[in-house]
Amino acid sequence: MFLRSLHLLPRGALSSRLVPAIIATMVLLLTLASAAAIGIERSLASFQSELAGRYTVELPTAQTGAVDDETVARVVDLLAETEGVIAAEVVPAQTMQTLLEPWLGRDAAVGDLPLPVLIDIVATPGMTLDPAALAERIGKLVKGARVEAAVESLDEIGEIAGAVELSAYCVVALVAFCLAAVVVFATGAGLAAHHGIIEIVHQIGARDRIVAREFERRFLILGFVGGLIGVAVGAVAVYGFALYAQSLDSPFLPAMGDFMRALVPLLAIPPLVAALTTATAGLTVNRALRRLA
Amino acid sequence: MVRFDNVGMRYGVGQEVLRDISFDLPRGSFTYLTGASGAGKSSLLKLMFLAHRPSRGMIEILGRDLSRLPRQALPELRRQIGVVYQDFRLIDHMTVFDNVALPLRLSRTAEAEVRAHVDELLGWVGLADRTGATPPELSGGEQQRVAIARAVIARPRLLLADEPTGSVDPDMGDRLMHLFQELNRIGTTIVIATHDIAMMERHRAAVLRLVRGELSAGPLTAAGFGSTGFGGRPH
Ligand SMILES: Nc1ncnc2c1ncn2[C@@H]1O[C@H](COP(=O)(O)OP(=O)(O)OP(=O)(O)O)[C@@H](O)[C@H]1O
Ligand SMILES: [Mg+2]
Repeated sequence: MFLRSLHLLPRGALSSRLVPAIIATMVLLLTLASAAAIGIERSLASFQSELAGRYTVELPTAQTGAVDDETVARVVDLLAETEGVIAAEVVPAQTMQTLLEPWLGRDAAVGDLPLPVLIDIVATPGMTLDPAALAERIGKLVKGARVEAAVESLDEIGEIAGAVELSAYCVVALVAFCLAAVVVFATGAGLAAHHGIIEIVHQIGARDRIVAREFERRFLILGFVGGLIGVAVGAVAVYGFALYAQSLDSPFLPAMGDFMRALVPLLAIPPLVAALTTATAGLTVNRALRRLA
Repeated sequence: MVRFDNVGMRYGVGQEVLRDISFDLPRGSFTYLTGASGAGKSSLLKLMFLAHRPSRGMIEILGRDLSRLPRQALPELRRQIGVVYQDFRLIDHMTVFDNVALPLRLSRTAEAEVRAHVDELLGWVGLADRTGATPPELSGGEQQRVAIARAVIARPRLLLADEPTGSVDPDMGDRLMHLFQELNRIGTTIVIATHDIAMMERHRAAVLRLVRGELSAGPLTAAGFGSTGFGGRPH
């Protein structure tokens, strides 16, 4: 019954080119904002799992002077024997230099500076080490040794990313609101343009539902088609962006497949948009008709 | 059936265009509503088909007191009232067939039945070969016949027609009057607004006469247009 129409309105009554274009554009924005929110969330998750189980031991040199290779080797041995550690590796001086270059300059005589020794630890998956206890044990070999879990450095990034993600969802909500507002205006314009027909149908004894249904049908189709177009264009844009991001090969970014899988829920946008436009049109018509005695 | 008691009507905040209207039309009656142009015939019909609220007084249509009728009950009541507008008001994007079929479809009549009824009626009003045309492609007289067909298709209990023969030749006018009389015979109460005296003489019936917004206690009746029994006096 819902799809059976009496064709009370002329063909194409509400699809003046502008309305479908606006709906599709809104849905495109909706898709991009949602994809951004999901992308940020996935990036954070992937970075988190990347860093989980990673710790760094820092053997300071500031007061004690350079730590000799033998001591470093003993620390590495101690770590290797520690339960839950599967790998412990000294960060090579070369890498340290590369890391520090932006701060010290390429030609800085790194050898002259007593650089701290860094040892990367990988824990058995699923195991967490106690950085404080580990630091205490290493401290017996090298005074002032520090152990830091890599994830801790993620907390601030996580907070910023969370805020950006929240903003993205706010954009999604605002766009959805604007979409509903566009439908209210378009429905109002349709009611005004076809006022004569509505009056006649009303006089013949049509219930408000019948008239509302005519508008709902139009906006169901407009919402769904606009939704499909918007999501399709949005998907192409997001895929292009994902390909580009992938080429950067950054640990901040999730694996392509992972990201794409996370985007699957976006397929629900066209039906959701259709539901939104349909319900809005129906409510608008009902409200307007109630003013007609 | 249709009862007015001391009814007044105005458009917006303007003067009353109808004043002190009281009458009672029994079930199955056939009544002409006449009066000079601007006397208020169309306005009185609007009150009867629930398109306008009175500014005062009591109106009872098909036994229902309009002032006590909840809004949800109106569509049901309207379906029992057929209306022929002075300006036809057909739906331009629909074919003649669909315009006439609309009241039946709104009351969910089976499509086969719709087809049979509409074809038969369009044949009767001489439009059998125009069923696929749209109203803008029709002459004024043809549009008027479509409007009449739409008003009577669902066999309303009350038929209100505003100058329904104003745009057709006398022969077709007589044919349409026979249609109304036929409908009247099966029980429909009929009110026809007209100032076609010749037609009223050929097809005699009771007369309500409006003079500048008020019912006159009928000199026309005295002149012999059938008995009214209700001209100007409430029962
Ligand atoms: N929509 C309207 N708004 C304001 N005044 C109106 C409206 N329709 C009619 N009137 C006024 O109400 C009075 C009665 O008009 P109405 O149309 O009922 O007359 P009528 O008897 O049907 O005339 P006619 O024979 O020309 O159709 C007139 O003075 C007219 O100006
Ligand atoms: Mg009139």
